Amino acid sequence: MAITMGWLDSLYSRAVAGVAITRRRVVALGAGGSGVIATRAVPEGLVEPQPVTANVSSASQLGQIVAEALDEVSAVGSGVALLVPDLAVSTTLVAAGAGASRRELVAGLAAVLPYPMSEARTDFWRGRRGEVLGAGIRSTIVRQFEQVVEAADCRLGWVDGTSLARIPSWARSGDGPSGKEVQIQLYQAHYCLSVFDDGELTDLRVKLRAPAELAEIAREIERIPKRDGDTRPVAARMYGPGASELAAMSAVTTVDASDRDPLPEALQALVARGNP
Amino acid sequence: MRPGIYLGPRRGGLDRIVRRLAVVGVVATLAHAGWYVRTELELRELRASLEERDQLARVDVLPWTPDETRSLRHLVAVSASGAPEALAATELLSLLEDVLPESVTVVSATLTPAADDPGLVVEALASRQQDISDLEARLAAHARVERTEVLEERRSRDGSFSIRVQARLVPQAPR
Repeated sequence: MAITMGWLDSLYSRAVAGVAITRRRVVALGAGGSGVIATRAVPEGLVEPQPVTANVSSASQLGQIVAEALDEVSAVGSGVALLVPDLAVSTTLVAAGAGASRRELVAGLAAVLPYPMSEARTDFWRGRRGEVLGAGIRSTIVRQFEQVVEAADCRLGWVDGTSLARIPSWARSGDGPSGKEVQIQLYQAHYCLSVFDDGELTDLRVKLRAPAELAEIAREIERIPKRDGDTRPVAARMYGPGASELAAMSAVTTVDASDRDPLPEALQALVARGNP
Repeated sequence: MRPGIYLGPRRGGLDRIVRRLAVVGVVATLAHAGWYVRTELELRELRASLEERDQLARVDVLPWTPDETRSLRHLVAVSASGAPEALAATELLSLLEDVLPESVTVVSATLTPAADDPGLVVEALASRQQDISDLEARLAAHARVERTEVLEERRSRDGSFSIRVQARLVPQAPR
């Protein structure tokens, strides 16, 4: 039955494009792994990511920007995966082995949501080692972003938080080198720090940042093994503007540091999932 | 493992139901196709076997030769299908055997085993008139026979005598 369902799903599957909306930019990725990227600037104040109130002040204006970006990558009218701003999404992480039931997971997530659970769209991702990442976004907020995509005659595909999109693939790649690994995704106004122990997601933080606060982030990374009492070496991977500078000031071993915008790769990770 | 967090609109019910129905439909169609092919093959085998039997049945059971003592060339049993009280065709054949004199050949026997009006029509050939009359007399005298009626009696060019006689049987009391 599962095989047949998979086969049927593959019949439905079509190439999926992607679009990411942030406070400053709209980034569109062409369908079918074309790698074509279109970036459009978002006027100041048009998108104000936060978890409680509406994020978009003018849906029609943002819709036009998104439609232009999608048009440039020839994705108008196709399936589109959507990355919503990190700061609109609330997350919670339950450690592996906690054996939490669905009800407990929902209760755990409800505790971090700054609005009633009944108004949230939520989902849980279970890691290979049993850890559970919960995420929630207020329905009215996510609906705004969805409407912007739908206005460009696109079918919605996956919808995820910008920094959450790559977490599952990083967790999966955990079968390779063992040890503690820290992944930092740097953006203009915030950063996302995720910690993996032998491939298990053990920590996830999304925090606001000021451009000059890299030293503070470096100290935060250094504190992670001390906090856990872990003497193993920590490998860090840093992506986004300021990554190389952060790597230079960080005491941990930096395996990879790239100043390139992390959004296209997050979009690629989301698009690679296919259809939900 | 699911590929990640999905915060999009709930893929509800309808989409999922339609997909599941499609799966059920495909599975049912495949199962039905398999059953159909199997049945069709069985049917072909049965048809072939029936044709073979039909060929055999068309062959005279016993070719008529005046020297034969008692013989049956053609038998027609009208099946009273759906009638639970119907006589068994073998019972009528047994009656025919009882009344058939020596040297008479039954050219055809039509058996009507219906419970309310059982009977048989016998067409017989014999080289002597006496044997034909004997058949009619024995038939009329049989305990199971209510009345007889000679439908046709003639003499052929080769000198043999033929008779077509109908016998009405005493209807069976309902069991």
